[in-house]
Amino acid sequence: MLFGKKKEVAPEIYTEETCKSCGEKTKRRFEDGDYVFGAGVQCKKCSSSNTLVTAVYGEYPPESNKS
Amino acid sequence: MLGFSSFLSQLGGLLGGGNSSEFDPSNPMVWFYIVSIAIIPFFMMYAQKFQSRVILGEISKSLVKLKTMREDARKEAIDYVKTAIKSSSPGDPTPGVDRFLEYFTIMPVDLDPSGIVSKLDHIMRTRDERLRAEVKKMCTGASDQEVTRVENILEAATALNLIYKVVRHFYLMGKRTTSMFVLVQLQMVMPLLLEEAEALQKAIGAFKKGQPIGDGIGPMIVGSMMLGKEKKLAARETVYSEDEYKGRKLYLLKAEGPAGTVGRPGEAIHRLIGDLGIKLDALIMIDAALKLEGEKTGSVAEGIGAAIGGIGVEKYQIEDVATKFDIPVYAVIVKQSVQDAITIMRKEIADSFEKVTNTVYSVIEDRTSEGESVLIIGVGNTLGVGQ
Repeated sequence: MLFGKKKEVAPEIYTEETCKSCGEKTKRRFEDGDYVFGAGVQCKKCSSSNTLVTAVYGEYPPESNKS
Repeated sequence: MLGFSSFLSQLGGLLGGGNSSEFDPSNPMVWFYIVSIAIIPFFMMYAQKFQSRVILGEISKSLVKLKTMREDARKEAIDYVKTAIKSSSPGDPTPGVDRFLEYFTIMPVDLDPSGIVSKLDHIMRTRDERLRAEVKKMCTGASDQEVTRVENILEAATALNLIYKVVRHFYLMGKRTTSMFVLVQLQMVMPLLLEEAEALQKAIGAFKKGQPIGDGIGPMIVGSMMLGKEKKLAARETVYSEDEYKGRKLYLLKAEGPAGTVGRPGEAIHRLIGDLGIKLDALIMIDAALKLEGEKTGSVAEGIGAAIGGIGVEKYQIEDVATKFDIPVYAVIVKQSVQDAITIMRKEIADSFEKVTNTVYSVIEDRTSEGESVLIIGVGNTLGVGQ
């Protein structure tokens, strides 16, 4: 489109967690109640509940990344 | 005296070529020339009015957008208080939200600037306490974290309300006076205002869900350093921990998360140095900073000085203590736009975590010696970031 405004894309919100027992890093969709350095969900690798949320961020699709 | 038809034939000759010496009304080109020339004085008289109409139309469209955003923000705030906060008082929160949207703060007089910072501090504290009390009244029994979320949502809604009202004021003033100067200025700033309004609207989504925002990168770095350490209260909504790094004593300070607050780092540093008698040899501040167009979001830079935004009270307090006790102040910043700073933290900003941490440790190693003490402050809104 020549004069049309570029359509805005909403970011996908992800939560990154690290298992304190086995060190496994996982990335999943954000869920209400998640916060950075809060407790994460059960580790898929070692089933430990000792996980820590290390980041919560919004990821834009590559084509809408302007900066 | 030159007759009109001979004038036209001369004109026709001038514009239409050299071979027609007579005025020929049947020639459509002649009439085209007449209209073309007659339109010049018309536009000389009315061009500005036409331009005003076009500008008014454009501003009017933007004003409708701003109005929609303001209404949406207001509705979201009311709905959040009604539905998300289960423990809120049974009454309708609408009058409370509307009162909050119109709340204003009168800045102290600056005719005699001496002592203005303490006056400003006093006014801002009174404002914060009053607003907090209003929110608590609206959401009886809500946790502190929920209260700060509502506060953040209402602040964004208030900012949107203010933008809308100011734009409407200048729009109506320009319309009434048909002043091109007022309208053109408004038209020029309108894209920036719309950008800011859109960012505020998006910020409400992050505030509601308690997601970290771009401004939270400073608290995120210090929060990771504080993990597993004892947290002590340094000032209202501000905590600190102690740690050791390569023979240096580290004091880590940030707003208490994951509530949506910036804490009071200025007051905290006064307390640490004044009341607790801690001797500091260096101060490192980590904050989000505005990037220039063309700079990359999430790029990290290092410098000197108090890296802290806001109205200036906290910055003054930190600079005051640093000067009094001759403490060098180092700054590590993560660049981002205004929009990035108040909306959900972008991946590029979160990815800068390791680089910022390494930069902080390299500043500690380079600028201090073993046995010295360093205070590291994570500046910014700690929404969605614990410690």
